[in-house]
Amino acid sequence: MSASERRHIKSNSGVVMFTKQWFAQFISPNNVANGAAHAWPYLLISMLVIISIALIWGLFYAPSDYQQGHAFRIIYVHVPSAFLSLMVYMVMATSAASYLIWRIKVADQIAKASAPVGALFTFLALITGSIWGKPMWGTWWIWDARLTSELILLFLFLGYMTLRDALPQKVGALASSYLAIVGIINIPIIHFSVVWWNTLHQGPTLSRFAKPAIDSSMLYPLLLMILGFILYYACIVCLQLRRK
Amino acid sequence: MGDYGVYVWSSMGITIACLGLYLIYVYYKTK
Repeated sequence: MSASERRHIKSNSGVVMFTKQWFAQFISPNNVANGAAHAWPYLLISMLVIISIALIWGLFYAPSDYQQGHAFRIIYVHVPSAFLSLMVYMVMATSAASYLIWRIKVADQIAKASAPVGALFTFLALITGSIWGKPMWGTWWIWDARLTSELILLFLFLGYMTLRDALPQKVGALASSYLAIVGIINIPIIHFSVVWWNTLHQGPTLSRFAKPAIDSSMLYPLLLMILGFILYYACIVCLQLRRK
Repeated sequence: MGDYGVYVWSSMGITIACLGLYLIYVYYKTK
């Protein structure tokens, strides 16, 4: 090996080492706790402003649906809750995997903080969907593929929390992380349930690969509401990370 | 909101109440 090649490898490993050290310092529990303590008030204020605007826009300024009338306005809380229930589970499972692979403590704390708020979003998606289902379908509940898979998601969140609390701290963290990773199989089932099976639940309103099945006058307050819910989730996680 | 007002307002009310109460709970728990 020539001298220039050795220098190149040495300097390259120096960059890798520096990046690793910087990242380790960046995600250290103290650093994250400080960042979270500074971030949560900003997240809270922006969340309150955005949700207020989206609610007023959606409830009073968006036009009513030609078939469902004003009942369609339930989507302004139902769709963001359902979207966040899936998103929070993805974050929780990814954090759990990061904890298992690299033993990142902050990742485990994020997963732990995500489970109750994820369960709350899932519960709200089911309740608001049920309140919408009564006037539109004539029933509060039906064992439809979308509804049933979403109910299983709620059980996964509750199972994660129960398993974690039932076992000693370290064993509980490991066991619940495995459960979170195994449960991720339910996420595509929920998302594609309305495509794979002939369900009573309507098809996807928002999709990455297609034009939204909703007019822009109704879509914008919905997207704003989803952003507000994401900020709420970030605020809840920061509140829980700030003193750890 | 017409005939559906009770459904719309109850779903909004439940959501805002649950999210607000949980936020307050987490704030005081981690204070």
